[in-house]
Amino acid sequence: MTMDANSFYNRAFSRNRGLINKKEQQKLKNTRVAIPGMGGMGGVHAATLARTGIGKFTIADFDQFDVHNINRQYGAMASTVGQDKAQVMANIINDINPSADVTVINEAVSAENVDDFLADVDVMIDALDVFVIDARRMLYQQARVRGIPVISAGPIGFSAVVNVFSPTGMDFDSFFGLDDSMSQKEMMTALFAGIPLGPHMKYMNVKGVDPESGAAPSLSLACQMGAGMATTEVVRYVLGRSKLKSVPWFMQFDPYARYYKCHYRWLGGMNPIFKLKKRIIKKMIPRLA
Amino acid sequence: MDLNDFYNRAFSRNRGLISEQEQSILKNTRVAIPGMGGMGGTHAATLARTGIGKYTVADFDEFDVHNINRQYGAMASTVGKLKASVMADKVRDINPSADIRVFDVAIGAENVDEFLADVDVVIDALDIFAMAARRLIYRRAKELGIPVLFTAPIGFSAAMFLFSPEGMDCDTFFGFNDEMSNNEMVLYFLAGIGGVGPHLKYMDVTKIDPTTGGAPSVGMACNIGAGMVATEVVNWMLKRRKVKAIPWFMHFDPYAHHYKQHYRWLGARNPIQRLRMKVLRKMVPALN
Repeated sequence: MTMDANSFYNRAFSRNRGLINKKEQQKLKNTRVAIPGMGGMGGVHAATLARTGIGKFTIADFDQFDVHNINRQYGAMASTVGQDKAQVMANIINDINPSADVTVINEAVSAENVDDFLADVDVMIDALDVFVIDARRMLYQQARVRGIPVISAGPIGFSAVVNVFSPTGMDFDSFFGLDDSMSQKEMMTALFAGIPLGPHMKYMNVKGVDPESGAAPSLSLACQMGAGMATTEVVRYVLGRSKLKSVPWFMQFDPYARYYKCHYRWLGGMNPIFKLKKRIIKKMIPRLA
Repeated sequence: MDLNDFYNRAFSRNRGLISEQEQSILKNTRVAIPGMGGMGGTHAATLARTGIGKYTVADFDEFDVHNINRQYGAMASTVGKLKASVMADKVRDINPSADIRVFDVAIGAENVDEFLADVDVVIDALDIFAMAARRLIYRRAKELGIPVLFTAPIGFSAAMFLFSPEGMDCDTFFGFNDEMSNNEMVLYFLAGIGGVGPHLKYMDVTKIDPTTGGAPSVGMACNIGAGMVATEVVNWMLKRRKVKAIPWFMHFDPYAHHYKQHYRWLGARNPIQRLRMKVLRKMVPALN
């Protein structure tokens, strides 16, 4: 390629004009997004943000791609089975935007490496495995201390649920009602209860959810929508656009049920209906009891 | 691992939402996608990961650097390569047993029947401005009893349309006829897909230029559109819930926190729609 890196960037993202102006594009180019987890959601987030022109990434995953990841994970292909997830996604980001500055951590994020992981980060997107709890709580706490917002998108059946945690708003533990005295199963139950009892309950078989094997039904199409919604929130946050709805607000979109709702969970984990839901969830998913 | 085992393992995590029997229906489904650009590439990849087994894809164009902000197959390493061939390789890498027919040429009267052979669902992912090919494909698909799905990324939003072979046709819905110029049809088309919604508040429509084919579009809206269309493909093939075909259409805008199911009575002859046409004519000077 004869084009220099700057001209390439300007040309590659020129069609964002009309929605994102030149000055805003420059801001996105200088934004660093941290994504722990390069699986179902993380990979699609990374690719979607890269195509939006986000210029800096810090990504982490300890795992390698396996064949059963293919139904939803961006980097999972016949040709990448067995390769490190984070490294494969870094290569894809750099192929989309050769001037992207990508920091790769081929291990799990923990208390030991969290300082490196969150260094210079503007926004974090939570793309950890659903069943990871301790590392997730630690990351949300550390991000909050540093004034970093955290966005999460969950593929739930044919739908996607999006949460935006502003560093000045309600925190992760308060929103889900978590504290250190709870067992892993109690915390998992609370996180599941945090998913709205939306229309997906009618068509999804939740009995198959197994926290031990880490298996839950999930579709690529829901990951696509979740990444589209989360990227919209990254753009909104970084560019200071209007209509930010942070936790205890959260959003669910379900094209199968033709449903979109902005939910408001008053008091977060202390909400009386939420507490009732935790009891229902325990009965619905046998392995959480 | 043989190809069958690979397929079963690759799509095993769809269980709980798509049963084994339903998965084998999807494996035997052929989807035709004319256009491997912003929407087409993302459609192909999303459907491939859902386990759709057969594809007929078409694009005469090669990837260019300015496609990178939204087109699935556009990368530094694919600039200058044929879009349809690049995407066929990507689909095959996701599902090595996929059966893919590739058209590296434009679709016209001479090859439309070949393009639509054995097809269960068509997804219109043509360039917004490719009106002749669009009308030809919709007309022929209707005659052959094939549904056509279409989604447009509009600002940060996506609108989704399903043309059932028994329902209202494309010409009636958008108001096309043989006497119109291409620009005139583009105007009707844009008014039909994006004439209503919150995007009109935040989107600079003066950037639309039919002579260069340039219109503002972002990758995140393509993700939303592909998710909505894949949902309808799954539902059409598995007949799980009621279909809402044209003149119904759905519009989701996460930026404006807006979702609406529209019903456009009479299609393009709807009185409010005719009023919108007049407004759009003033808003997009390049189309007049």
